[in-house]
Amino acid sequence: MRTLALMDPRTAWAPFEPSEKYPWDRRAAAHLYRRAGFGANQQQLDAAVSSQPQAVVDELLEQARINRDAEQFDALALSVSAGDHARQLAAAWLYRMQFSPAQLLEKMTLFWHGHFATSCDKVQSAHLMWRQNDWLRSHALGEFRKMVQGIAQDPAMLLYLDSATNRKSHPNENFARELMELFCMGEGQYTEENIRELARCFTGWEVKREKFRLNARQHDQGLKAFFGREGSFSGEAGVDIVLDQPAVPQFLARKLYDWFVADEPAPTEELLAPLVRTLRDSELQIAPVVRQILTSNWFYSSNAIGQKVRSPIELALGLLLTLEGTTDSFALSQRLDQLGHSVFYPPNVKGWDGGRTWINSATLLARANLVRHLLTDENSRFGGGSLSELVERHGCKSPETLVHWASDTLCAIPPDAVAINRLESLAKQFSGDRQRQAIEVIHALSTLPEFQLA
Amino acid sequence: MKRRPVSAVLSVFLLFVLSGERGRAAEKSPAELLPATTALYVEIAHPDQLLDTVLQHPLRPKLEQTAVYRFATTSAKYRQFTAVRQIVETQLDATWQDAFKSLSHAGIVVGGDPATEGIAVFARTRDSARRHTILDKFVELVRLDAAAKKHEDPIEEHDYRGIPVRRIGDAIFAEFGEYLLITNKKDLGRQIADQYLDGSDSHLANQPSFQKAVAQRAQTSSAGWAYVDVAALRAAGVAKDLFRAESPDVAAELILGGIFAHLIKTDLATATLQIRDTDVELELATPHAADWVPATREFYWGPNNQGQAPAPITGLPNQLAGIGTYRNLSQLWVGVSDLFPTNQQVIDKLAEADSGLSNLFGGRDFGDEILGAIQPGIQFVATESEIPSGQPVPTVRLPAFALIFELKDAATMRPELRRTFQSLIGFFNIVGSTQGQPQLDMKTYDEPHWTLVTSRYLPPVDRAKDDPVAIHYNFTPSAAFIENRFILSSSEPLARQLLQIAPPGTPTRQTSPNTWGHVDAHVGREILQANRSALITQNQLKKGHTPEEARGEVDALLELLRLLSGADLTLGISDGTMALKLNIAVAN
Repeated sequence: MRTLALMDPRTAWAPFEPSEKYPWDRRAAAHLYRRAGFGANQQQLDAAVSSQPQAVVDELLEQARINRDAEQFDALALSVSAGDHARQLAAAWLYRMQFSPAQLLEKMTLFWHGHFATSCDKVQSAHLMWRQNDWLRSHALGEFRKMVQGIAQDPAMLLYLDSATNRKSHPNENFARELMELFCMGEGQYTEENIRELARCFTGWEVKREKFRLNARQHDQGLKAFFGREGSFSGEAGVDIVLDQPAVPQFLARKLYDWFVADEPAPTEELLAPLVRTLRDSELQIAPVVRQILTSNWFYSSNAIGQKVRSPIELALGLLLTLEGTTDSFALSQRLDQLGHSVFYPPNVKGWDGGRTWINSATLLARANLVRHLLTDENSRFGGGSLSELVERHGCKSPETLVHWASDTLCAIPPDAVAINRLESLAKQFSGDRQRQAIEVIHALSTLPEFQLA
Repeated sequence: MKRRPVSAVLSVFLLFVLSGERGRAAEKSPAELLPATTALYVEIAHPDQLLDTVLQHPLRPKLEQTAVYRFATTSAKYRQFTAVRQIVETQLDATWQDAFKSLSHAGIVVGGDPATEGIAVFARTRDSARRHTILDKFVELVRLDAAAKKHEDPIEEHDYRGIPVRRIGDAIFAEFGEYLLITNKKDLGRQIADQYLDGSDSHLANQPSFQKAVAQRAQTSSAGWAYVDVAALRAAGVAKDLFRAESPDVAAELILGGIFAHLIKTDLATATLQIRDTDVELELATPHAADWVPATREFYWGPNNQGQAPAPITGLPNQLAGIGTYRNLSQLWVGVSDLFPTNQQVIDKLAEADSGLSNLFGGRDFGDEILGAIQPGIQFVATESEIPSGQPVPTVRLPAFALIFELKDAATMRPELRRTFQSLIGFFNIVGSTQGQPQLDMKTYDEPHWTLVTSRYLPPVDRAKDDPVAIHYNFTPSAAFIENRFILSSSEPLARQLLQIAPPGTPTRQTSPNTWGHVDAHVGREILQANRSALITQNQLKKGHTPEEARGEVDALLELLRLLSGADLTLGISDGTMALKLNIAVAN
């Protein structure tokens, strides 16, 4: 099992200082774009390298704040949700992930979608799913408290966790449990009594005509006692009490670490302490801690680079963005569904497990098939034209230059010499057909373990 | 794969080479040269005239004014193409049109032979010396192009019994007499050459079915004519799905059952293409014999194959489409086990549906009593939708549509159908309420001469300004009755419009075909225009286009539709022929 390289927590989260061992180059910039977004083409990488890492992260945060073209993407989602087809809505979001200049915002929205997992399978309304998605996006880098208060009253979430039928005679404990376990604090940080008392706060919360409503007659007005507080708490007050618990910043810091830094090994409490402090000092603001992570020494070290397994969405969009590709979002959505990564349809209330669970013998083959599909789909274009035109533009004139360029741009960690030789032999077999050659090389590359890592 | 511009132009040039005109009497015709096993024969008798018709068509200047044309002709690829074309024209010392005409004035024929799996293209000319010169220059160009790319000589040359033969890739070129022959199979090329040199009685022109097709060929000139040896295709096992006695499902049987009945019996089929300034017309035909249609398929063609579609309803504002067809639904329903003898799944589903529908209609037998109460013949109309006042306007606008039936005994059936319609709306409301769907509010209007039952979705309460209006607000399901007519409409305004058009009484049965259809391109364009933003959205998501690219493509489609007036289709049997005719008219 891999162990964390030695670095004291203060140095670890201090601003990244490029060194000979960890230079600020295309590979480091590609790492940033893969984690803070879904990928970048060569031109974006060159522009990033000519700047400073902190400045690039600040620009990503600024793009998230401006959220340019948001109206256009919102209109796209609203238009497809009129037909009430969540699958079409998924295609609209994938399109947005790919085309939005606010890459970090979309990446964070995807993070919160997995965090506050809600499935259209149960909600049965594309429109409600879209409204939730819009809420997550609006607060993705803002105040966690505000986001949780909104999610607690979000009709899609209430329907998903059966909270819409929460009556004072029979408080439904689902939402109270998940609020503490999955959304704010993690396992072992609360008691069954806490759940029962908190659930009473949410009694009377309903969904009427697709909107949240407090049914005062069904709300338990009695005294509730939990986490050392006592009072006739409302649902909003209950959420606030949970968010006041010290376990919350610890829980959030760990989840953000998992999302941005590495799947494993688990970070120590000492390592996370500076991130927890940032969250606590900023009253659970998300942007400052995300900035701290993305600009840190730790983020650009071997503890982070190549230490995450690409999710199917990251795999597909990473390929497209790196190769300046565009494709059929409906078909892409279907393919991702087959790989278990269908947005608006998370597998359960815990969201996607991620990490190594993305990889097994069946999904490895399916991931390579997804890559081939993206390369060969009749609606796929690369740099506005064919793949062979793109590789030619990037100076890939021989099998060797093609393999070098492909592995360099598409892999976080370079494949070993044996794999490179195999790819070059393969490329030589298709020397007479540049298009086929590029497809076969990238497809073969996609079967390598290195390709699966981000 | 990127295609080299030079190669692209040379490929186009190949097409120019495939041309000819009716030859001199001494020369054997392509039908006399093609083997007897030929199953496909396509003839363009006057390619030069066809080229003139296309290039001088009144539509051309309109097309050239469209943004899509201007965009296409200013693209870098088109400029490259033009540059290479000019090189070729300089080399040939003729414009491509002139080269095409000089090579093709005597006609083009394409033959398909299942025995050799070969395709043969004959280009016929009276000026074989000119053809030879052009081909030589063409070969020279191909070689120059290959040399420039440092490729090997792509042309193999040899001789077959004194006929010079060239091979470029998979294509074999041979020149003899008035012909340039291009084929993809050596065996087929040899057979044709042997037939040209030796002659025998075994050739396509001697085949009885080909002779029958030629005899029935209309005397008026056409842009193109094709013959298919259907019996040979059946025997060869090609396109098996077309030659099955049993349709795959009820919908296919309803639409195509009568055509299938002919395809399993006929020995041949023909196609005739007409291109005029005002329209393009394609007619597909097979011979017809009365005993080819089994009793089970009488529902399709009617007694003695004389069933005729209802006369078209005219006068509907903004009508997008209309379809009228003779179909005896009762006969189809009760005869389903004979129509699908081997498809137990279809029989079971229909039996299940029959039971449910009979219950819905108060225990009356659905096939005999309900469908049996309807005159054979259905009419379908679609119009641009009109949203009733007070109803929200849906984000995606769908056309309104209606089915029109004539009842045999209106007095008996009216209350039955009205009550069933009301039950159905109630059923939708109950099911919808369990899924949180909006409810339909029903109203009945009883007038001395007509009855209208309408339903509307209740408008959403507290709808936010930016919320999309769901697609189901396109629908205000309605049922209407006037005289013998029963109208089932997706929209209340359309039902009211249909009530205002007096029933024509007994349809004119003398001239109506079995099936007719019409689409109005102008109204289609208006509907697409109303949904432009939804189309752009779909285009973005489907093709990965940017909004600008998507807008460009959708607007190009709308512009192209502006050039068309509409399309008409008829299917019928007359004078021993079953014919399917499609006519596409251009806008004035």
